Amino acid sequence: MSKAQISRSQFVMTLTWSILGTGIVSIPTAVAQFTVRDAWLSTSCFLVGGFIAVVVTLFFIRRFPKRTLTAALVDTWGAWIGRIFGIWILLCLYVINCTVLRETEVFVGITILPKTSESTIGAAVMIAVAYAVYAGVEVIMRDGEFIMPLVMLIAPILFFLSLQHTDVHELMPVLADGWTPVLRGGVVAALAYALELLIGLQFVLFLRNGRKAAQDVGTAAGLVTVVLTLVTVVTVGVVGPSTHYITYPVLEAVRSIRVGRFIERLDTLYVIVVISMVFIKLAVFHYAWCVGMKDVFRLSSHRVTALTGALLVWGGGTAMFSSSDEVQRFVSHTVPLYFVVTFVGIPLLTVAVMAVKVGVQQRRVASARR
Amino acid sequence: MTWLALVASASVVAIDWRSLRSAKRREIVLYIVLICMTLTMAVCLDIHLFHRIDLLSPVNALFRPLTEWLYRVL
Repeated sequence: MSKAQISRSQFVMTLTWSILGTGIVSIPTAVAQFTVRDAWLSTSCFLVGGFIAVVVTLFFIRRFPKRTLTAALVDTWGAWIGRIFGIWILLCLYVINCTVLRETEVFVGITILPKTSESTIGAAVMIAVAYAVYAGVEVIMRDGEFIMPLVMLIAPILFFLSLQHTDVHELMPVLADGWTPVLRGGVVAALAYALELLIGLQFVLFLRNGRKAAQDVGTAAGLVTVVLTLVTVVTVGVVGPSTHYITYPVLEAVRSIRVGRFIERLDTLYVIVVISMVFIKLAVFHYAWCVGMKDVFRLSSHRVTALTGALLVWGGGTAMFSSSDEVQRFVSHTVPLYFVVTFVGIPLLTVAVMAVKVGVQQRRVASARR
Repeated sequence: MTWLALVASASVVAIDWRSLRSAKRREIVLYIVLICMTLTMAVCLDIHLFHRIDLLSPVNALFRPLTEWLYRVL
């Protein structure tokens, strides 16, 4: 097993970019299907999912301080049942990667490369992702650090320039339709996107300070909640009720920026930031999948499946989703409970079974001594 | 897409050739399975088979009713 060591800041940054990569593009759209004026309240529900992720990480770390999720499954449930659970997790990670890649292909196709075929865009993205994953976890984490200055420079500029077109009245009156649409909108943010933070369980083994992983997941959840809420406020403030009908409302908000008569079309900067973050997300989930394959099928290295797995994701993205509407419907109407079962149910059940096993073993040892 | 998948698969095998020569049999089998799955997907996409087959239908059948129930409860 690799001796790679990830620092806490690298871990927090990578988790943050992993969620924001698709979250910043898709969450405002998904939430706007339920509510537009109170969309910022729905986005704030991300914190609830973040809290669930922190609790699961806390329990997992206490029971398995130096194991990945897939390795812990095989240890706890034994070779056969553990592998079945492991394959379930691997399928979920694969579906996530296909979903993200398909979203990326459509997003890049619509925004910057309208004449390039989506399969070519997907191939180009996966070549870069496969290379990063092949090189190892440290490369992915350093990529996360590398895009930090880019994001910190571009994001505040776009945010403050968008403010000049923001109309606060678009957010009023607050809770005019009650809590129902807010909570329904919050389901996607809290259960589909926030639970993705639990991908951190596949990286526990590589953390320099694994004991504080739950704290780091909490920090990432807080950061993402703040960013997503601010982005949603500005987007609804600029785009207004049209947010409900537009596929990429944040992009529209950024497109509205004009400084003087000569600075416009800053959406290119937004696309650069989104693609950088999506690259990190794909690399993180693909690496987690490769490590999972290594644990479940007892491979000598994650590299065995790094390149072929990337090929499979490239094919699977288009095979699973023919359009971005299908991706959106899958994320809104299937993913929330799919993630609850996969990333909350299975890890907590594994922790409980391991606790019982350890308890029974301790009792046996104690009764043997008597 | 099939041609692109073939070229990509050949490139991947060429890159991994040295490590494949020292790999365990289990790893080689898994490797071949993954490449075959990719090629099958590419061929199926080219003959528009996935318009009729939904790969996610088992997942949708399991979790879509539950998620929609959650929306109704809220």
